[in-house]
Amino acid sequence: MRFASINKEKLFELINFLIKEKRGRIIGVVKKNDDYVFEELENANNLYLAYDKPTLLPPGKKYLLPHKETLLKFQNASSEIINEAKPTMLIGVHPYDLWAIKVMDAVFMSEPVDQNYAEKRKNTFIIGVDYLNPHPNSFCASMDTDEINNGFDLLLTDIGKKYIVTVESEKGEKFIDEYIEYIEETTAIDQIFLDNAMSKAKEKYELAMPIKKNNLPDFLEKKYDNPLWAELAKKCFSCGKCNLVCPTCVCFNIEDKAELNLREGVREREWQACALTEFAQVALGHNFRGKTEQRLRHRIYRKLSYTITKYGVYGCVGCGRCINSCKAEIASPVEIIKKLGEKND
Amino acid sequence: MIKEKNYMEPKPAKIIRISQLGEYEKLFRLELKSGKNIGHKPLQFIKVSIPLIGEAPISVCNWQDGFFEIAVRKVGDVTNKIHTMKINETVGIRGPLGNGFPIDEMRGKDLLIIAGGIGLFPARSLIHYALMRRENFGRIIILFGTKSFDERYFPEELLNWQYRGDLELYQTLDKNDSRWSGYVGLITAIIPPVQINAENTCAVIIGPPIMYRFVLPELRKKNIPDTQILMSFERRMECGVGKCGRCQINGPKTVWYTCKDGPVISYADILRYELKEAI
Repeated sequence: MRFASINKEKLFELINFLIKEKRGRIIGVVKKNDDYVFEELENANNLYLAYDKPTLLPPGKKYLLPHKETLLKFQNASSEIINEAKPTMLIGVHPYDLWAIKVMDAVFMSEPVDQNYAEKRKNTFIIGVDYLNPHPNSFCASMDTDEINNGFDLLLTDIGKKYIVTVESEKGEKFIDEYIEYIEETTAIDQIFLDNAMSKAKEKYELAMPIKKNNLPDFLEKKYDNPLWAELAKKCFSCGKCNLVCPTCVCFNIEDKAELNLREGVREREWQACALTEFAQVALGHNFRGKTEQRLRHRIYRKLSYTITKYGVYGCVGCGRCINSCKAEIASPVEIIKKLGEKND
Repeated sequence: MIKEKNYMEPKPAKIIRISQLGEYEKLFRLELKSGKNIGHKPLQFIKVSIPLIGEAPISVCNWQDGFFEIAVRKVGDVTNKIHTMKINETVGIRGPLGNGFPIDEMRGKDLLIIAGGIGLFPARSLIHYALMRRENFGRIIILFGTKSFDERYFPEELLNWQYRGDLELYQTLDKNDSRWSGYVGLITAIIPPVQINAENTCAVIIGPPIMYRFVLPELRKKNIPDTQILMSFERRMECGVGKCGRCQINGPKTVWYTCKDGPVISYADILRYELKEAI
């Protein structure tokens, strides 16, 4: 790992240069009404790196596992694999979203490797930015996702007039060397500023998981038949919003779409959501998870238990997007764990 | 650069024979256009792909050289479409997928195969396999229960199994029929009379979800060890390789992917993993 620094104005100059260079898509955080979104940048002035609320959709999911993705193309009798991956730079990915990409890697890069995901992953250059002003619904510090040491190419930390740049990957090294005229060395005082910024941020979290992250799977093991699930189900709309916005919700559907001529078409995958009624439904209508309470329990176990046993990574990164988005106000993993702790089994 | 294998790519297979099995069921004999064997284990499945319609997970239902067969009940888009297809037409297939039976562990054991309804289709791959390697197994006992006389699929094969002498077949119908002189009643009723050596028996259950709940207690009464009770499960599947998340079977401790960890699992493992959603 290597550290450098970049003056804020220089960073914006550099990004504008990259946009003009047109080597690939430059994606960054942009303010939209009261929210933030990742979208293609036309000008670095639109980039909003100090954002203090998770973007509506997570960048990893949006660009590495697009909402709809063509896997096969049909033409008359033949089919052809489609695996398109434009060179993409993601600027401003918060650490929790970088942790979420690790979860996606665990799912899609394990055998058999998902080639469409792998190709996009390979062609994506990730510039993270530390989350120094956490939103009241974020609980990253208690999920150990407020900081990250790998899983990005560059990571920016705002220390006032400049950013400290943590260089993690070979691609990151190359990038720094290529644009060295924009970059400065770090000083000993920069390191102090960096450590200060990070420890201050840690203290700013208003929300925390009530029990230690490592104890969650054991805790949940005893809560499977807790009455809370049915209680929450009474309020749940089964709308799937919690899944839609979750950076580690990567379940999908595969469906064929035909052109009007009925000779051409595509096989697509599209995000699916375990909260939706039809998630586990099969032909003729039998539903293996037909009850709302089963589905919302499934989501919590998948986030806080199953991904650990299956992949060794936590499926919840504490971003709080589900809390921000749930109309019924029942999606919060923190609240659910709290209530499960209070309720007798 | 070597082009890496994309699991979504279907291999073309030609339909070489079609036969009607029941009112809604047809048997399709297929061969890969590459000329290769698909190389499946009993109870592995494939994703059948029909361009512009979609994919469906279907068990391979035979064990023979040179070709493979799928028995398809029409219940959805893909299965309805394949029912309209003719000999020499092409479908795509992905697979074989899933774990299949732990054949090596079953060697030397008596097989007690319990099939309900179209559970006979996947069970047939194991029966074929066991008959081809008859010397590897002890007794082969098949219990087959189905709703009606017309849902006795593969009647010629059933007849052959009944009289060939090296296996035992017991059948029952849920509904009586004037053409039927055999047993009438649920499959659970024909389990108790079967005499077995429990320690050396490997039981296999394949049928509709509800059947497992009633058959398991009967097998436990016979003292068959839980490690020797094998079941095959079906769930909604999209990718077939453990990514899409649709076929998960949950419990308080862990999760099991029907497509990749299964579809075959022992009752002992279900208990060990506490897969409450399984049964």
